Amino acid sequence: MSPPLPITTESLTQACALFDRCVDLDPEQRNTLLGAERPDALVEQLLRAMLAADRRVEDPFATPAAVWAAQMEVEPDTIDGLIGQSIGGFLIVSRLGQGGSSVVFAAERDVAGATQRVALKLMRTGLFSAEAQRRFRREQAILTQLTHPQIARLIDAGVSTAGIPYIAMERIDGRPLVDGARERGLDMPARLRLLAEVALAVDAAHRALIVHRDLKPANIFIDHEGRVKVLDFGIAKLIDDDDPTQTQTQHIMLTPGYAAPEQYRPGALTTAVDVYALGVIGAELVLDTRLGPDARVPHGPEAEAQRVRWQALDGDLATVLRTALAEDPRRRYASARHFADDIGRYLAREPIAAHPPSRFYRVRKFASRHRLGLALGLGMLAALFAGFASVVSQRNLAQQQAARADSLRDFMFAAFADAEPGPARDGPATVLDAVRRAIAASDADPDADPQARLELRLRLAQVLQRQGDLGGARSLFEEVRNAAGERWGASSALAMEAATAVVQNSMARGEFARARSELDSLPPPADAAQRVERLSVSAVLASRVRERERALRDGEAAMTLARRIGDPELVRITLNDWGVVLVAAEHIEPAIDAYRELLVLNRVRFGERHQRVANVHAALARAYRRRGDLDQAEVAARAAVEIDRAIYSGDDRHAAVNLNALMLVLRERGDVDGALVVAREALRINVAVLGEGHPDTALARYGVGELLMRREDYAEAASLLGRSTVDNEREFGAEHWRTAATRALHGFSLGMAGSTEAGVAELEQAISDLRALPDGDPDRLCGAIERRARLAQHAGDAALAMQWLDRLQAADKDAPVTRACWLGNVELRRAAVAFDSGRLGEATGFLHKSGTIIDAVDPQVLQFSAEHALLKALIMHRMADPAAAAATAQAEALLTGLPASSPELRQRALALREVSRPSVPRGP
Amino acid sequence: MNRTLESPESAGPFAPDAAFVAAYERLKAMAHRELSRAQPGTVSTTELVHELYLRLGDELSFEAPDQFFAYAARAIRHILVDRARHRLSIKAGGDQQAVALTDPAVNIVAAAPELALMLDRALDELAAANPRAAQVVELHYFAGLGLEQVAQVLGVVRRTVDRDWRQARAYLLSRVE
Repeated sequence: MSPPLPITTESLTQACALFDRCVDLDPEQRNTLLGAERPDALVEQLLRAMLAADRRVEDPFATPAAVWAAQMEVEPDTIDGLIGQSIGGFLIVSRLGQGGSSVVFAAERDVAGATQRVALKLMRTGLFSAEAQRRFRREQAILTQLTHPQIARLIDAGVSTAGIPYIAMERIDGRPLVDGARERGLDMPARLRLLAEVALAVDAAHRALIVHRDLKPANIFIDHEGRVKVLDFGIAKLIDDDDPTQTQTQHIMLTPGYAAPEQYRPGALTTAVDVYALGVIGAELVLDTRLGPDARVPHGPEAEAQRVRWQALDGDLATVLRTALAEDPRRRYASARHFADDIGRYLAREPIAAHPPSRFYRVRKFASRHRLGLALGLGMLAALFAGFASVVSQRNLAQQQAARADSLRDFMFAAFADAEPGPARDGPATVLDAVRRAIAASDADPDADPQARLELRLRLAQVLQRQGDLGGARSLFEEVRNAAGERWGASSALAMEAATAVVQNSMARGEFARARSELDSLPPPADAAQRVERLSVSAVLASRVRERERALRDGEAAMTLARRIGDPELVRITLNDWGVVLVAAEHIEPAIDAYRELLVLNRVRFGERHQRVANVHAALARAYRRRGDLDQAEVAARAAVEIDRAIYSGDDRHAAVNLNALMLVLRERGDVDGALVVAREALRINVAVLGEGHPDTALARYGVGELLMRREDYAEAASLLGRSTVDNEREFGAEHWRTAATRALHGFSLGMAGSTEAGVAELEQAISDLRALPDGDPDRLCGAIERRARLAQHAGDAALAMQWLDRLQAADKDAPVTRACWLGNVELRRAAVAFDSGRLGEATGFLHKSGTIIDAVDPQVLQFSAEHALLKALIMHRMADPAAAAATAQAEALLTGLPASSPELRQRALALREVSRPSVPRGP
Repeated sequence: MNRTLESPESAGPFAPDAAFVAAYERLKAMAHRELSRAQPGTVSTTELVHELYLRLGDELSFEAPDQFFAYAARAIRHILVDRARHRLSIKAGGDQQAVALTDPAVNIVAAAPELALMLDRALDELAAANPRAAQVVELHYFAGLGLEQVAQVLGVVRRTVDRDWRQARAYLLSRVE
């Protein structure tokens, strides 16, 4: 505050005039002018103050007058007219106080003959949106369950017939914390004990996943017995009218001076804001003064005195308070309990835990030390949980769970902190280790509220699922589904979410029939959003088992309904599934449209550099590739990989998935070597992140093996594919399609590498497994049979090769739908076998048939056309056909246009060059 | 201190007309209601004054829109001071406020009721020494008019308004912190 000046109108007039004359002068000219004018001391003082103020950048005028006035909104005087009236069954007795957003009355009602006395809080403004009112009720239900001897209980809440939201709370007679402490003449240890008590009460609420958000001395009372009671727990959230899913400007109620720095920024609030407020309250209790708008920087007239008091504090105590007051929430105490513990240690003269660098600093150091193991470290976990929060809220489950997810995240941080390994620990920790530790901790936490505990376990299971531990995730999902079902019914939100997660788990494991039956046995959807989700899952499921019609029908219904509901988040999630369905149904153009829309939405929602944006790029790459647009596909795939490189500080399994998209593009380009480099990198990441035996690692190893086969490195291919087969069999069983498909390639490469007997046994085993699958993929079966025929051909057994080609034809005929043109391929193979055994007439016949089929079905399959032309030219040469030279030229042209050629094709091309040489005489 | 704020008498060149006292009370009441209904942070001074003009301009038959702005500015200034006083009279819990989260220029200090009263007092002091500069503050800050428009309302050139605003701002700032 400026020192009071005896301002007179005359002196001010002079100062103003001088100000105009000298404001734009440099200091020297200014002094010259003042030397000449010789204003009296008061005028000069005024002038200098004005000149100094002129240079200030920030000023009160930054806040428009109307905003300022609106901020200081006060109750109309008619509020006292409410006394004697009844709201929500409570009779209003007298006014207790008035706050920025509410008026508090003493009120009472009769309960079973006894008078219940409450503090009745009437909100100043109504809840504007229907969503805000729904949130109010949900939040109320949660708060009602919060019982703690030192937290004022929420008794009732609702909206009066006049539309005023009201909250009835246990009425505490007492004094606000700092005043009460002063009046009772409490000494420092007594004050600190009170503070620790408050922190423990706050911690209990945090364990029930409730954040106070507005802790301050006025909200903490000392009752007549000298016990502390925390008021208004969760009320800030309860009356918050901001939709957390809205990206536009949000407004929140906060109390300057007690609000943590991050409360001024957009984003979900965590329990760390309460830890900060506890720090401010602690400092005010200990220093016995009101701190300024920023507790960390002494401010105002008492700034100097405060600085002195801070310096006079015991170093450890100052460290404890400053740790709670850290600007970066991650550097504060992990929980209110940690804060209370340190106060206890300080009082007991034990060494405190919070010495800079703080625990969190150490956790971060741990994360960077184990770069590999923790994958993305804490940042990724935070992102995961933030992701859950939005998904959860958007799927129309309780929106307040966004905040609860943040509490869960805090729990995770604490789990990391507690799990910091000693030096003797074997190997690096993985994110899975950390999550599993958190699961074990949640098992052992006796204080946890059952709902919070189950919810925590559900979220942790989702991390497991995302990180690829499908088995671990499944048993937790089932546990939560069953426990929540028993407690709150199968249709309760938690049970339903867990049950849906079980379906998705089955899908991720490729157990589609099981997933379908689980999906069918879910209780009916509770609302439209759940119906969308159900339809969307059903569509993806149908497309996996090639029920094309059903996939498109359900997918379209989901999409239409999602758009009708109009929730952009729901549209976003549904678009993702819709893209998958469209690609599977070969509707590539609409799929590309869907992914492009999704790309825009994800960019807006998450920003350019985000995992989800990268994943859509990768999905687009797959779709472009299916369209044959390899250039665009490569650009998209590289964009995905680029983002991954930027966002993941270490290895991440999603990066491996996106590398796979790039690998497929390169493979299709015929760049087998390039594809192999990428595939090996993906394999390396999977081994690092998921470990050796993991099914995704097995899949990545399969990818490398398949490429090695293309390079005819059959021995190395066989070794990788054998390993992959074993791992798949251990995870999924021998009859699973993944195992069988890998086994087929393993058998083939073994055979080609020279171990004919073992290879044949393995391949035939795979064929019989694939055939036995109830919802098997006919293309996979046909592919395996074709390889068996090739193996026979390779071994020179034409009759056996022909037998297997007959079986291939039969398998193709039995299949309802296949992707590839197997029949054309069958005839082509027959022609090749016949040609190799010198039966040229037969070969010509098969070749002709295959040509007709290929032309009719898909002349664009260059591989077939090239092989066809090659065989034709070879036969013509053998038959000394005069048109052989022309046929050779045509075959050569087709071969050059081919991005990649198989070994067999190359063999034939060499043979053709050999036989066609005499017809192109060179030299003399 | 010579306090003249409780009625519109000091509204500068616009002569106090008894008929307007009632009209002014209506204006103030309506501004008050509008401000109470709005969500804090979504309020714009310019829009508020414009809205008031649309709803009251005809009815109150001001001679010129210019005159209306002077009254509107005064009304908003009064409301601010009234509310600040009321705030100060609330003993406990009156310290919560709404903050626009995405507004980088969030100025918490501005919301302090003490500051509103200091500003009001300083503006009175300035009005005695340089009445036109005080009017510039009212029209520009309290009625949300652009400086160009302020120049038109006051019938002076823009440069004069710029100079007055700079001088007034410097003085008010030197008095409030």
